[in-house]
Amino acid sequence: MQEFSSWLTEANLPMVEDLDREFEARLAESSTLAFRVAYGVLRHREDAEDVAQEAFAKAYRSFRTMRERDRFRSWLVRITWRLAINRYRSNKRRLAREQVRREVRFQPNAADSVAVNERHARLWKAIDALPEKLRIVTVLAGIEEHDLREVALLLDIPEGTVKSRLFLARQRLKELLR
Amino acid sequence: MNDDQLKHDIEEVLSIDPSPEFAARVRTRIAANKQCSRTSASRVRWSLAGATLTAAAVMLVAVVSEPAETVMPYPVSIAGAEPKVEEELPATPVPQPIRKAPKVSEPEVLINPRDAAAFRKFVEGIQEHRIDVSQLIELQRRATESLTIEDIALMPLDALEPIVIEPLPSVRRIEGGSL
Repeated sequence: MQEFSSWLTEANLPMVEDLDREFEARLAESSTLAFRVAYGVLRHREDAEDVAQEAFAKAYRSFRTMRERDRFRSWLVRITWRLAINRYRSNKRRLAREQVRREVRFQPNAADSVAVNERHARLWKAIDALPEKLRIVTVLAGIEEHDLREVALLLDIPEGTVKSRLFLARQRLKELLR
Repeated sequence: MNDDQLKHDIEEVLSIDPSPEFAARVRTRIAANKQCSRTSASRVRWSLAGATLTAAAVMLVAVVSEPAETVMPYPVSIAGAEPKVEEELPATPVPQPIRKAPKVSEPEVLINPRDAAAFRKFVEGIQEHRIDVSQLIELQRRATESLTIEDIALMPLDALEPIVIEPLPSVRRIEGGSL
């Protein structure tokens, strides 16, 4: 036991309380981002919150050993997107097994008018039809109010790539929404 | 539909916030995961300890059940195998004493004889299958099941009262003169 504690000291690992405090700060700044990324795939509040929670739980487990903690947001976005896609596919398989022909659940906002909800539903359907690389760029750009530099940081790709993918995505969406 | 309208619509559909309890639920989940991992880590430690004890017992059984080695007595020096004597030696050779090593049948016992006897009985019990070693692990496991290891709560530095160091009295007052 003494050898273990001396190893900890030598490895200069930060105190657990400092890590918890740092993680709490990350949770506060990134919780909405993680939720919106999950919502961008699942379009269901409860499912999106479940997936975002799972992503944060995974993030916490890896937080201590994470080498570059300033890339936390980027890591979180990728893991949340992956978990959301997996949940979407498993929901789809479950629905197929239950032999219920339903489209992906979209919870219309009760406060919005019927026309607005219909427009949103059509938009989501069009976004779903995009290839994954274009879809994630579209969703993140929407979340980050089209700050392309931020989207490039989150996806760890060049800003030029974000621009070109977004351009392609918009062209396709316009065609689908015509 | 132009680009601005599309951008606006996409931002609108994504401008949804998580419920107010979301962050609290994340914290609860993380705390629950921490508790599970602590409990399973302590169980793993105790299981390892039990496994080590069992392995030690099995090794002892293996050692004790090996046939005792007979120690050869030291070779006896034979008269006449000595190197040839020079002419200076006396005419009549002095017979060399024959040295015999003490007979050693068992290793030297360094523990209390009563403890040694008790341990021998334990080992015989295992060999004769009167004692089931696997049950020892089960007993160990049951005994440690209800163990909860709590975190040491470190006192925050803010709670500690600062140490007040009084200034030294001036040297002049003590010695009654200048330095």
